[in-house]
Amino acid sequence: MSRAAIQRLAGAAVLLALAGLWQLASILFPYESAPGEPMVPGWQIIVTHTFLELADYWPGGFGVNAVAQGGARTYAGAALAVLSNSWDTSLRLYAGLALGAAVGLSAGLAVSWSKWSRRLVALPAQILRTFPMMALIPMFQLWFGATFLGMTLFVAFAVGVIFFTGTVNAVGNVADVYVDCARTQGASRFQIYRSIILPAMFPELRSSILLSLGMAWTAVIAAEFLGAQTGLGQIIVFSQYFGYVDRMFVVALFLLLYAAITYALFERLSRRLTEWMPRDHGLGGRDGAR
Amino acid sequence: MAEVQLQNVRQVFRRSGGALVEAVADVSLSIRDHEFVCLIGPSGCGKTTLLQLVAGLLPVTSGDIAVDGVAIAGPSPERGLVFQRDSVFPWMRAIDNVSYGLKCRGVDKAKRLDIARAYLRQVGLADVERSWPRELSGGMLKRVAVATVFANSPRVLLMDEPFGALDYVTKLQLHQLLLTLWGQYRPTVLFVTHDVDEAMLLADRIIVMKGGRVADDRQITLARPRTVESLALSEAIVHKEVLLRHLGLGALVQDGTAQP
Amino acid sequence: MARISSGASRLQVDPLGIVGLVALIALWWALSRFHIVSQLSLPTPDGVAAAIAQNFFSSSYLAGYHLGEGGLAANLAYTIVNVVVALIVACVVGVTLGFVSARNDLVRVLADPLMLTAGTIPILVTAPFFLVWFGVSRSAQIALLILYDATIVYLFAQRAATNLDPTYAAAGRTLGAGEGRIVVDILLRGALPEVFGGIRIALAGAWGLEAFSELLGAPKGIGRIIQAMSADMDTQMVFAAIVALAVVAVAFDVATGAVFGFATRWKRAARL
Repeated sequence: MSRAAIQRLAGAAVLLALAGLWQLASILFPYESAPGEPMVPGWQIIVTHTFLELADYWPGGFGVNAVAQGGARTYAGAALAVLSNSWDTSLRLYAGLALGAAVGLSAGLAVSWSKWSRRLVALPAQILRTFPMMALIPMFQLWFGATFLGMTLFVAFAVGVIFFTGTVNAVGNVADVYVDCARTQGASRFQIYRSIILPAMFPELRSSILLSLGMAWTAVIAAEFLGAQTGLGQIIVFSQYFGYVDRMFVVALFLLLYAAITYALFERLSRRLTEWMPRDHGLGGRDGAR
Repeated sequence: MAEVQLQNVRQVFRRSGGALVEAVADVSLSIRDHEFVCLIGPSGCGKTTLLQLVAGLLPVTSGDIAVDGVAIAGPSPERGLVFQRDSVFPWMRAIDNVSYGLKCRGVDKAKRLDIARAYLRQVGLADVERSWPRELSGGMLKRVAVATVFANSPRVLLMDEPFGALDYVTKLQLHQLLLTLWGQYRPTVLFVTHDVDEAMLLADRIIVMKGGRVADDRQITLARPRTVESLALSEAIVHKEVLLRHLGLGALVQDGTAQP
Repeated sequence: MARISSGASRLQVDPLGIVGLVALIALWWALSRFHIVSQLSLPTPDGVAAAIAQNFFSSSYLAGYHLGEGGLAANLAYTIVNVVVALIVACVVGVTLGFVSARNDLVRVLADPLMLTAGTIPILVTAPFFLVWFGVSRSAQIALLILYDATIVYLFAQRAATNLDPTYAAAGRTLGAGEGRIVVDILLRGALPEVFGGIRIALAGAWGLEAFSELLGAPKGIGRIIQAMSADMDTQMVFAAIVALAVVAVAFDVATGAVFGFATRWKRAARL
C-alpha cells in the first residue's frame, strides 16, 4: 500500500476511534445539562432524534408549518431549517471574504507603491494584526447592528487586515533581482506591478489566503454567536442555552463540512495559479546553480 | 556598438545602521566601441556597484556616465544586464521570459515570439521554449538570461559575475557562447568577475579596482580565439601574475619579478 | 569601500512608523472631536484614556455590573492568567507531541489526524460545548485556549523537527554525541526558532479567543467587561477595555519577540 493510502486509512481509523471515545464518554458521564438532555449524547441519540429536532428552527413557509406554532417536526422542516441557515451563514462568509480580500489586496498594493507610504503604514498595520479581533464584534454590532451588513463587514474587516499586511509583506519580499531585471528590459512601473510583483508575491500571499479562510469562518461563527437572528452559529448558541448538546453537535458537523469545502475550493483555484512553482518550496534563496 | 564614458563617478550610500559607505570613490574610464572589458577586484572593491551605476539601477552621487555622449537616465534595454543571481522569472515559460523586453516595448505577439525563438535557438535551447524555469538546470537558466538580454539588441552588455555559480564545464561552454554572440552582435561589454582565468580568456582590457578606485588598466592583446596554449604564453603569464598580486594572492607567484 | 562616518545607534523601530501611528490616532481624534462620526459610535481618544485611568485599579462603576472591585486591572489579570496558563500547558503538550511525532511514525500516525483536524476547524465552534460541560467558569476558557494553542504549537514543533537538516545530527554522531545529547543539544536548540515562531502566533490569536470566550460567558475578565458595557451602550468603556487588552497583547508580543530573539540570536536576522 502506498504511503498516502496508509495515512488516509490511519486517519479514518483515528477518527473512528474518537467517535468510539465519544460514545464511551456518553456512557461514563451520563450527567444531564437539562432534564432529558445528556451532556455527552451518544451516537444512538444523535443519529435518531437530533436531525428531526432541527425542524424547530424553521420559521414556517413552503408549506411546512413552524414547530413553534404547533406544527409537527418533520424531515422536510429540518432540511429546510438546515438549508436556509446554511445559506445565511455561507452568504455572510463568502461576501465578507470577497470584500475583505479585494479591499485588503488593493490597499496593500497601493501602499506598497511608494517606499514612504510603506514605511508609514508598517507599524500601525503590525499593531492591527495583533489586535484581538473577536473582541471587536460588539462594536460592529453597535455600529451596524446584528444584521447581515454588520456581520459581513466584520468578516471583511478581519480578512482585510490579514490581506493588507500579507500583501505589504509579500510585495516587500519580492526578490530585487526580478524587479531590477524587468527595469533593465524597459518595463514601466505599471508593467512591473502587473507582470512581476503580482505573480512573484503569490506564493507568500497563499499563506495569507489560507489564514484568512480560517479567520473568515471564525469571524462569521463568532458574529453569529453574539446575537444573530439566523444562521448556523445562532442555532448552536441558542441550543446551548437549553443544553441541547446533540443539536450543537450536528450543526457543528455541518459547519465543519462547509469549512472543508471552502478549503477544497481554494485548493482547486490555486492549482492553476501555481503550476510554475517548484515542488518543494517557493521562491527565494536560489542563485542559479541547481 | 557604443562608447561608454565615466567621468569622476562617485557613489556613496547609507547602510541600514546609518553608516555612510563610499562604494565608488573617483572613477574615470573611457570604454571604446565593441571593447570587451573585464572589471576585476577583491570583494567590496566597488566593481558590482560600478556596474549597477552604468546600468542605471542606482543613481550616482556625483560624476557623469554617458553612452555615446548622451548621459544615462535610469535602466534601459540598450544597456542589457545579466545578473549574478538567477533572474529568469519563474512564473513565465522560457520563451515568455526571452520576449519580455519586447513585450514591454509593445512589439506584437507573433513578431516577438519569433524573435525570442531565434535567440533561444542561438543559445541552444530551441526545444525547451515552453518549459517552466523550475524544469531547467542552472546552465540552461543562464542561457535563457543571455538570450533575454540579446533579444533586446543591447548596445552595451553588462555582466555581473554571471557564471560564478555554475560548474566548471558549463562555465566554459557559456564562455564560448558569449564570445560567439559578442562577435556576431558586437556590443560593448563590461564584465565583472573575480576569476582571473575567466578575465584572461574573455577580455581585451582588464581593469582592476580596489577600494572604489581604478588600481590598474591593462590591455590584453593576445590573439583570439584564446586557447590553452595562448594562455600559457609568457605574455599571458605576466598579466596573470600581476593580477594575482593585485588580488592579494602574491604567494602563488613563483618569483618576484612581475610587479603591479 | 571606505567608511565615511559611523552611523547613529541602531533604532529598532522605524521612526516613520511612529509617525504613521500618531497620524492614525490624530485622525481618530479629529473624527470624534468634530462629530464627523457621532461620539456615541466613536468616543474620543482622550475620553477613552481617561476612562482607562479612572477605572483601572478600582472601579465602583464596574463593581455595579458585578465585575468586582478591582476595576480593569483585576479583570485584565484574570484574562492574562488564563492566556498564560493555557499557553504553558499547550506548549508542553504540543512541543512534546510534535517532536516525538517527527521522529516516531506510530505517534505521528496517531497524533496527526487528531491535531490536524483540530487545526483546520474553527476552534470557536467548540466554545459553546465547553460552556455546557464546564459551566460559566474559568475551566471553559482555559480548555478552549489549550485546544487552540496546542494544535498550533504541535504543527510548528513537528515541522521544525522535520525540517531540521539531518546533517547536524549526523555530524553530532560522528563527534561522539549520544542520542540524549543529540535531542537536547542539537534537535531542541536547532528547532527552537521555528517553535518560538509558532508560540508567538498562537499567543497573538489567544487574546482575541480568550476575550471572546469571556464574552460568551465567564465569571470575570476583559471580555465580560466588553459584554456588559456594550449591552448598556457605553462605547467609551467598551473602547477602554479593548484598548487595554490591545496594549497588553502588543506588550506581550514585543516582550516575547525580544526574549525569543535573544534566545535564538545565533540565527541570522531575516532580510529587512
